[in-house]
Amino acid sequence: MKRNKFTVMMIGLSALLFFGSCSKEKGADPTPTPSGDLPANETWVIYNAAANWSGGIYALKNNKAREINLSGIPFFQVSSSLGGRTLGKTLYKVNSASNAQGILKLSINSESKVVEDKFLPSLSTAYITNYLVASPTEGYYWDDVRGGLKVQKFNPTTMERTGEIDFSSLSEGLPDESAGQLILAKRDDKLYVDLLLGTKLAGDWQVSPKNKEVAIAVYDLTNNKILNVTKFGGTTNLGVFIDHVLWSLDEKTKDLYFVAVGDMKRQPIEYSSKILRIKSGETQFDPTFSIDIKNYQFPAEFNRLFVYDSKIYTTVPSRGVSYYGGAQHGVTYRSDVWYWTQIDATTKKATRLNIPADSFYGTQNPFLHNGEIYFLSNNTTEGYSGVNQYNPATGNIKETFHLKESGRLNGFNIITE
Amino acid sequence: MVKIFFTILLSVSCMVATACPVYIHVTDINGKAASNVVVTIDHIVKGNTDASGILMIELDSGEHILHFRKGAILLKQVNINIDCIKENRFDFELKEQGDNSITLQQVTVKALTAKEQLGQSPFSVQAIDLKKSYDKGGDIGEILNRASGVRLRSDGGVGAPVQINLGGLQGKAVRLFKDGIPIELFGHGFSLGTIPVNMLERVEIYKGAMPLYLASDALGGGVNLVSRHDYKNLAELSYEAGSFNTHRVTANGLWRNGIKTWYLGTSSSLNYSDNDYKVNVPISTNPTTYQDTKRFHDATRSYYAEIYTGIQNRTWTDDLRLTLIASSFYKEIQHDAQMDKAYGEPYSKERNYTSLLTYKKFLLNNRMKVNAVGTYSYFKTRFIDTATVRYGWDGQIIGSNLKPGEINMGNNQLINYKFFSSRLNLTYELSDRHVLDFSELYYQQRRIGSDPLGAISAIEAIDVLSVPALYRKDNTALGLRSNWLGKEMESIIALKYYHFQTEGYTTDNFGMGYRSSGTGQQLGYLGGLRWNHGKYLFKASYEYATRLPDEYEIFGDARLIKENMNLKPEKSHNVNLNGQYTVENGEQSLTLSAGLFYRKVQDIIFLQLDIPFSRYINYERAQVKGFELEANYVPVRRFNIGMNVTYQDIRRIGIKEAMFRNLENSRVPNVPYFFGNFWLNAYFWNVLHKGDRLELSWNGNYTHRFFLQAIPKNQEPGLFEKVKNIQTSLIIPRDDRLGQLANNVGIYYHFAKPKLTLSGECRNIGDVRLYDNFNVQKPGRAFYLKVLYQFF
Repeated sequence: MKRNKFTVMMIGLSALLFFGSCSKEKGADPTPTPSGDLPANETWVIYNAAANWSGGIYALKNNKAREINLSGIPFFQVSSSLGGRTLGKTLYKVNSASNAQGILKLSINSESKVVEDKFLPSLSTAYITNYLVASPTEGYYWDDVRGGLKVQKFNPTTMERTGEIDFSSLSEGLPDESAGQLILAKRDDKLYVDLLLGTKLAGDWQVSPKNKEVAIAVYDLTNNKILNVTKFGGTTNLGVFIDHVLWSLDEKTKDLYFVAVGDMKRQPIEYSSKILRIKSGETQFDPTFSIDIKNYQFPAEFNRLFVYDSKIYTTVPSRGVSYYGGAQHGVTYRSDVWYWTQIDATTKKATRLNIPADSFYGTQNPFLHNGEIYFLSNNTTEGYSGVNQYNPATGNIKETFHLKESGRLNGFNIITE
Repeated sequence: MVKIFFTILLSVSCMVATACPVYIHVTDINGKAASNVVVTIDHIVKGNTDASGILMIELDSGEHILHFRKGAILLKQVNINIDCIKENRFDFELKEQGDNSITLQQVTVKALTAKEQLGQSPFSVQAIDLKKSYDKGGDIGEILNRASGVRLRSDGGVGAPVQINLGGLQGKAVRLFKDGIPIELFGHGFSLGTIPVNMLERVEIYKGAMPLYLASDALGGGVNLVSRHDYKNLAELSYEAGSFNTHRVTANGLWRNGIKTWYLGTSSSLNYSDNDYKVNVPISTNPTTYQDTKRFHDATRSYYAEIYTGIQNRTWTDDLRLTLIASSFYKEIQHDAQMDKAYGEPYSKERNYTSLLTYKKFLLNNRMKVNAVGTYSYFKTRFIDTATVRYGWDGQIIGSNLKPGEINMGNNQLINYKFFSSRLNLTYELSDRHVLDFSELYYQQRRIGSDPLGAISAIEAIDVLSVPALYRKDNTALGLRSNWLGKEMESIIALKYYHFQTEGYTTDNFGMGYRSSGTGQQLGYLGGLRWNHGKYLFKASYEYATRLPDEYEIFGDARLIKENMNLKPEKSHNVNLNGQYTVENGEQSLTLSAGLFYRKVQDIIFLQLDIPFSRYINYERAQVKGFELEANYVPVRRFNIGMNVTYQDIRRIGIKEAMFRNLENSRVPNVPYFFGNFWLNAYFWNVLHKGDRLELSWNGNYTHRFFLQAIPKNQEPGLFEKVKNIQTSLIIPRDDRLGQLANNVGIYYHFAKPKLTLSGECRNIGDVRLYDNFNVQKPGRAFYLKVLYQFF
């Protein structure tokens, strides 16, 4: 067989392309710039996300920095990166890496890599599994297939379902009834779950309650019985999404706060979004207390909540917004309009914090760590994704870190050694 | 404006006259191509035969004298009669003598294969001749998946949706046609997942640039499924039975009258399968365990009945054909995209009725060829997901009294579609060397339906599907084909114009409904060059290709996906370079072919997921660089061995938002990028009786691992490197294998008399776990038997 130049050329070109494409890009330095003022005993857990919400969970210990480039850092890949929660050194998130419905338990290994531990599947086929991890042996979740008026119990260590709490006695026979779908809160030995009895109208996403009010069912975990149902009028719909915690326990006062978002489609002014409270030691809503969004901005809703020392930390938009105002109409809910704001629970005075406005792609609430409160921001206009920390005692704010071209910041936890 | 230009150009071109094409193929007594034979016609030298023994020329109708010479030696003289109404393809078999002179031993007239003709076009095209594969079982996807540069992706089983990856692009970027008509007009009964091999004559795979006669908006190429065109009267029946209670029946028939002025025929098929193969899925134990269990709700049945009749060889028509098609498709739906949840009741079904009228005629002294097709289709589709119970993978009910809908929010959907389309292809021969091609495709889809569980506008409570939706597109193309260097070289240049218009109903953010409309247009262009010289074949082609957004992408579903009236067409610069080299020595032959391809895609239509509404936007850009290599070796007449391999480097580029630049140059996820096939065939003749043939075949199909979600480029593992710095299960396969290898074997016996073929096949002989899409497992080891009988 004759050798010919053409064949050699084709193979050569192909080989060039082949090996060229295999080459590694050495451009990005995977090691962030070290900084001397970073707490050595902390592991930062960062959840980033691409435009399609897929992303990674990163654990940074010795490679923390004020500017973090995540490229090159090992990560646990997930198809829906919406943040997560911690209990000690264990991480929990809604749904598996491939977004199978349920609760995923993760841990951080000795190499500071996030690794999958166990998965508790939900029987549901829809994205609706709410959960609460109360202790290593006590957890709760909601699974519509097992019954909308039932709260499931699980063991967060073994990730096995251990039983259920039945709220079926509260049924009024309405088409859409749930208990604990959006609020699962525990204080002392009582479980506080949202009770929503109503109908999901065609074309709607939220359930419209039969009565224009919100209700919390209080369950006594010691005696295993429903204590009472407390109701509050003038607003509707506690909570928004699963894994979007819209309740907060003030660690100092032990008061329990909730967000009622209202009807986010119609945004009726007479049933606007409100922050409500069940005071320490009580099982009834505080009838004298409510923070009404329309005193700060309207139309809008409260969509984040953290309370510490009777100061409410939430976001208030700089202009009226509608969650249904996406696409080409109106102001989109994902614009950089959400300003971190402190509202005094007593005086109701609002103070805007000097933190970059957020776009509400991430839903994580602020949290307290070592006396400071941490806030997450994604600002599309400025290309900013980062965390700022606020000292409530001094009023000082400083940037904890920001990401450098590393996706959206959809979650941040701190684990201390 | 463009249309006026095309019309004027066409009118001018019509004033010039020329002859009809004639293909001459010369072989020696061993069937080997006779190259460099000088052919003179009517005492004028017309050229030499090429490495394939082919010479293409143009002649007027009537009698011509051919002389074949080698050097100064006159080998033979023969008279031929050219009739421009018919195809003029001649095959001459020559005998080489000891003194190196060649004499014409006999003259037979038979068609040069369409595959060879396509191979001579400037496009990067691969034609798969199926005429010798009618004994093969399964659907056309099995064959197509073995072509170089092509990867089919399926959920597995009969009737499962199949998408083609071609040159790094897939999904809606690759258009499918049946005889040049968009395949969606034939319904699901005629799809890659249901068409048995013996329904088709060949498959044409266009990688990159598209020929003008397929005038459609294809971003990344297209596949044309060509129906059987038998020339003799025929009655053929086949039946295939196999694992998972699979049954396929086909019937092909053709009857022509004696003087060949009219004909009647059918090409029909029937498929059924339970698709109840075993899969490894999560079982609701506490804790959850993965077990092998049988699928229980994935049965599929479809039929496709096509009857055609036509008039031929009249003064006013060369061929006027009426085709009537009825088809139906029923498919149960077993699981979600991750194969995580089992469904026990949802299904879809449709009934389709299509009529086609085709007209072919040579005009203007045979210089103009007209090929016009008009189609009308009526589809009635249903999608039912109303169950208020939920199922586990064991088929048992695990929840009751729930909201209707296992899959999402419930559907009780009935939609009727009416399609009208027309296609006009005109070919005009300007001169001996130049041919003008014109093509126009018009497509209209009208939809109306209802879904009480679906999208209802909040304020007016209107069922969005009950408001008619209309989608129209028209694609026009004009091109010039030219021959150069005594036909060693062929070039093509063309302009294309794409236009769409759509009207529909949508709901705004506050629940108000309104009718809306959108329109868009785009210009495209292409160029191609083919050069043959001796044993070499070289091709280069370029197209600025377009895909128009479809009605669904523009209007969404008014429930979870909102409209985007500003959606622009996707565009791509497609470049292909191809080369082929053939070496022959007696019975031995080796063919090596290679292709390089490049795509630069912009305005990729991307589903921006969000709650409560997602929407399609023009978002991403991508660049594809790839190559494909194929080798086919025939050491002796009875053996054939070969392999192909494709590598495509598909990367996101030009990311606008700074925060997402970590994915700049990252590999576009969820697309196979390295794959290949190998095959070994053996043939034995006269085994039991004279004329019988036994064929044994083995083919393997390899797909390298690929990621389902994006990974920054600097964290990508090397091609054969272990995944180290990423903890991921979002990879196919996810069990640490570097790739998936499926092996299939078959044995086929052809009886000469009666014309009967018996076949046995075993697919996925290693019973390995195979995945194309997420964790959706394809069938394991499966056995099939097929019998094909030709009555006459």
